[in-house]
Parts: sequence; C-alpha cells; structure tokens
Amino acid sequence: MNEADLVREAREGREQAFLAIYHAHRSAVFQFAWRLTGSQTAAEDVTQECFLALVRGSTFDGDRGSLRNYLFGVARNLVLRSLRISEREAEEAAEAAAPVDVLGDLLAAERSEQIARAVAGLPILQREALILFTFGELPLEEIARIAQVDVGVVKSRLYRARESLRAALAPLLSRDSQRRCS
Amino acid sequence: MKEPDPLDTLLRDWKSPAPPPELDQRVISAYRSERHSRAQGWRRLWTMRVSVPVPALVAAALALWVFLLWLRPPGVPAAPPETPGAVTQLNARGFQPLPNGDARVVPAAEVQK
Repeated sequence: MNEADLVREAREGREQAFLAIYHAHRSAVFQFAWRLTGSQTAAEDVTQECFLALVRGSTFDGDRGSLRNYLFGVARNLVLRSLRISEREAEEAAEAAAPVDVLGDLLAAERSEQIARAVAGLPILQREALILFTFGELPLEEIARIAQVDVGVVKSRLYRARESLRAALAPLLSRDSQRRCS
Repeated sequence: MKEPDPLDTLLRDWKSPAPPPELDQRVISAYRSERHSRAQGWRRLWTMRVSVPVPALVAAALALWVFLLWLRPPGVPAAPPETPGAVTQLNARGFQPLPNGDARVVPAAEVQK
C-alpha cells in the first residue's frame, strides 16, 4: 500500500493506517520540530498537530513528493505560526541577527548544548534550511519545495547559516582542529 | 578524496532526543477523539436545527416567491381592449371577397346608415 492510500485510509478512520504513518515518521518530525524550536513541549505539540492535520484534510499528493517531506512542510508552517513570524519578518530578522557569543559558554556548557545554542541563534528560515539539509539530508530542491521558495533562496539561506555557525562555533572548531593535529 | 567540512562533523554532535513514549499515547488519543467527533458530526446532520432571523426568513421567502413567478410559463396573451365605434366580428358569416381587392375603411356611423 502506498503512502497516499495510507493517508486516505487514516482519514477514513482506520487506526492501523494512522499508526503505520505515525510510527514511520514520528521521530523525524519530532526531531525536526525540536531542532527548529529548541523546545521539547513545542516539538510535542507540533508533532501532534502535524499528524492530526494530515487526517483532518490534507492536500498530500504522492506524485509531488514523499510523505515525510510533506510532514516537514506542515511542521515548519506550524512552527512559524506558533512563533507568529511571517516569512517577511523572518527574512528581515535574518539581516539583523546578532552573532551568538558562544565563547563565554565554552567551559561551562556541554558540546551539544553549545551547538544547539548556536543553531538557535540563527534566524528561523536559515535554521530550517540548515536542519533539513544537514539532519534531514534532503536535497536542495526538496527543501525549496517545503519552504515554498526557489532553490537559489535555499542556497543563500544555507550559506548564511553555515557562515554564522562557523563564526559562532569558531572556538569549538579550532579546538577540534588542534585535537586532530596533535 | 575530499575531506569533510569540520562544521558538518561538529554539527553531527548535536544530538536530539527521541520522542517521549507519552507522546504516542497523546497523539493516538487525539486521533481517536478526532475520529469520534467527525463521526458524530455526520450523525448530527440529520437532527440539527438552524435558527434564522425573521427578516432573513421573510427575505428568503420573498425571493423564492419571485423566483417561482419568474419560472411560471407565460399564459395566453390578453385580448386587446375594445375601441368604441369599432365592430369586432369573430365569425366569417356573410363575408364576400372584394371583387377588385380594393379595401376601404368605413366609419361605424356610415355602416349603421
């Protein structure tokens, strides 16, 4: 049974179909939401709403992409809505984003936490592109479809995100580099 | 072979938690509740009541009446009103065709003479 059939059956009330979809994609959706929001509670809410939106009357079309990518799209819209940030405001925030000072936390915080803080300091749309590319391992074209922008815009967001992270995580990167050399 | 970007290596160390087990129960309960409310929605369709304000009801009834009038097929056209002094004859008794086809309008007073 393909994904479109499963979605249709879940919408018709067949719990087995819903569970099959949920168990196949819950981790990916939850982790995407968690990385995007940086909050366990928000990620749980987004995951729940995401799967319910699918059965409430989604526009999922199997010919236009995978169900996972469709769910990523729903999740990112829910996160943007919950943050009450419009695309334009988020773009403007991208220009005005202040660099994250990770240096002060170097000794105190855990490595993972430092990365999380640096990523959380990115504007939401750059963060989204980075998470989908690095952790979702999606091609640029798929990210563009999810974010409803051109591939060029995704490339630009990704480039700016990586440059900001390189600056914010410079102490960690240099420490890694020294460790490799020694 | 190209060496991996140190940033990518570093980002791999950013671990995200697994979804908590209670989330599963929460989502499944929400799905069941959603399904239940949708099923009730269909059943409610047969017993539901709609309250309409009286002006809206009157306007709707009026609009329906005008629509039904407009739909009614046109009847037999009414006969033209009778003109005083003119004689309307509906049968052809005593009719004779004019020999030369020359028609003339005769006033009513002249006919009585």
